[in-house]
Amino acid sequence: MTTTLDKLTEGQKGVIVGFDLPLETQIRLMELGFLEGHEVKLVRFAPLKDPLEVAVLNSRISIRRAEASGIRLRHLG
Amino acid sequence: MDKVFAIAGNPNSGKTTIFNQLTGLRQKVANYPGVTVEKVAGVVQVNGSHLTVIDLPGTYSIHPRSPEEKIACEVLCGLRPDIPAPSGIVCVVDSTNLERNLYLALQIREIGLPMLLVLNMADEMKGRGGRIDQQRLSEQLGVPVVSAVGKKGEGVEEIRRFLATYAHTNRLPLCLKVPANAPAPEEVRSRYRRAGEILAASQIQALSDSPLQEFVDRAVTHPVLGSALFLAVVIVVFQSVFTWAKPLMDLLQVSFLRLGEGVKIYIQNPLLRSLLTDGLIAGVGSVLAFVPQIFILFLFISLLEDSGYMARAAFLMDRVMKKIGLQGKSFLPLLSSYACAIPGIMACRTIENKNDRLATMMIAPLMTCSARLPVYTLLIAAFVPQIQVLGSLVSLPTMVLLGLYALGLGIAVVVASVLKSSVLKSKPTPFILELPPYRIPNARTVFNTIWNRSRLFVRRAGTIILGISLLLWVLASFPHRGDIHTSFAAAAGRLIEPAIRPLGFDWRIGIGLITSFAAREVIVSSLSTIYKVQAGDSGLTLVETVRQQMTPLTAVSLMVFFALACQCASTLAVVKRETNSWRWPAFLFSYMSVLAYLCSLLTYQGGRLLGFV
Ligand SMILES: Nc1nc2c(ncn2[C@@H]2O[C@H](COP(=O)(O)OP(=O)(O)O)[C@@H](O)[C@H]2O)c(=O)[nH]1
Repeated sequence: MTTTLDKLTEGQKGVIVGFDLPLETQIRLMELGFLEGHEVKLVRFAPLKDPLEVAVLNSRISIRRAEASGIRLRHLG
Repeated sequence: MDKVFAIAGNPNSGKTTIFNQLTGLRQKVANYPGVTVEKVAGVVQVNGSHLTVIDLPGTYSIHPRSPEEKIACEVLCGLRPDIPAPSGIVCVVDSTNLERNLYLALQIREIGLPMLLVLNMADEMKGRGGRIDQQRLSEQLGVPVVSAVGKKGEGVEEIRRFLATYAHTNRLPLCLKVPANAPAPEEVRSRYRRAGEILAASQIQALSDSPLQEFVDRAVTHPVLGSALFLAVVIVVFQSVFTWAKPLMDLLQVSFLRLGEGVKIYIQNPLLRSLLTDGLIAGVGSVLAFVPQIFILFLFISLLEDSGYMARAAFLMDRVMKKIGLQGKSFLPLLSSYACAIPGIMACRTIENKNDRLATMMIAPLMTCSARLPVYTLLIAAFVPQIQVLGSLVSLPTMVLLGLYALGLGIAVVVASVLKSSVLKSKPTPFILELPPYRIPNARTVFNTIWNRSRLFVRRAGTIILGISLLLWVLASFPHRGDIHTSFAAAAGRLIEPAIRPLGFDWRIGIGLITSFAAREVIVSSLSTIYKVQAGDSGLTLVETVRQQMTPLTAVSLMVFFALACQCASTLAVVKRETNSWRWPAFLFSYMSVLAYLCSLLTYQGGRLLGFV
């Protein structure tokens, strides 16, 4: 089952399967560790539900909803 | 020219801490020619030769996106005309996040210069049970590896040995131009694959989660505790810049007054005496008066940045700031501008996106700074009756004061939106921000930051501020030896009177507008001088004199003018210094003046139409 990063609830994990983002943004994210096959966890939303905090490769990255909705995942629960 | 070594690495990997350990206070901060990126260089002495070490801006990739990353890349590849190709590169990595850090290390290795990999944060890695086979890592990467604890100085000796080894070699970098903006996706994948392999081969024991990090994170982001902490930080920063700096500023002011009095005793010539006391000493005093605020604000900024909280505050505020086209990181500079725009504008350097940074700088002076308060207090005391409003909850003077704060803020919101949708429109760069681990800030790093910022302010902006103070002194004291009524300033006041008449201002207020360019609150002393002399010494207080000399409507119009006008040479000087061009201060001054003029005009003429005087 695939979903996108912004659809996870806090604490849920997924494995990246692809991107629907401008190439430049995609590559920036990839260089930070958002690679196909890597596991990511939605740690939390900011109080107004945007941006969100994501755990990837032993680091925490904040991205906005707009970008998160372009990261496709396989759900890990 | 000295041999150059570069320190490179991811943001927050501990580069600056290691740089400080290597160089101590022998540092020089300047701008790279032609750009606003700061060049931080220091001198290290090994075996009797002096080496220049450059602390490069943090970067995640050798493919640059921001001006800072571009500089880092140019220096590493030896492509900058002002800096020789490095003799070696010290690549600092955070050992608690090796995979991503190795991605950059692999790119840097490809440049082909002598390189040392510094496994920093070794203490944290150990604490979380991680273990690395350094020998294996070194073989895999093909470069020497040392483990280090930057904040304790562990590993610094080995870094010095590396510098000594390559202090006399000359190898040329392999890259002949700055790498393209973005690598192909396949390139990123394959390099990460390599990083993963290297890690798998050299890691003996992977890191476990840090319960301490989890615990702190849980507290910091807790709905109640976290909000309380955020509020506390906001209040403490605001209060400290506002009030804690006060005793120091007062002390400075008193010292300079004393100094002035001391000088007066020895100098008979009135003109020379006035030049020294009212011009020079007062000018230097007004420069140094900012230092306590800058000192305190950067103390907090440094603590917040190094502890990892700053990024969290930006995370919390991003949505709100996005509404006006800015971003999370604009929040703190704007908050501190309520005390004073000078440190606020300097704090904008934490915003990486250039257009967001400029837009924040352009609205920072609209926040009601403390220098406006003496003006507001005087005029409110003179004209606003002490009555309770809103069911006797607040007094009318408080309401007026709050209204003035709101006016500045409201206009700032509009200006930010307009700027961000026109001249400063950035192509929608995604807001991607690392939230670094929580760490205990290092006293040395914090002190270095404060020291560098204060020194830079005094040296760069200070000279401009002093120059303008002296110029204004000349305007107020010539040609008739210190008589302000027949001075150039008065002539200028009369000259601009037709232009400011429609705002309800006469030539005497005109003088005040001109002299207060040195600092807003100067208008109070200028008006007091002018009115006193005019009224003859009638024994009235300044408030009473002002009440006699001005109409209430003029006072309101004047307050609106002060809320919006850029009556502050120091602000312009510091914007010049931070943007490295006169274009932005010129723009700032023009738009704020036009805005102030129009709003005052509207206030005064509108008020008259409604029958006020
Ligand atoms: N635990 C630990 N913290 C460190 C070490 N080196 C630096 N730090 C801290 O890590 C944070 C970031 O360091 P800094 O030098 O500003 O990183 P930079 O962004 O790469 O220049 C600061 O709070 C430092 O005090 C280290 O070896 N161990």
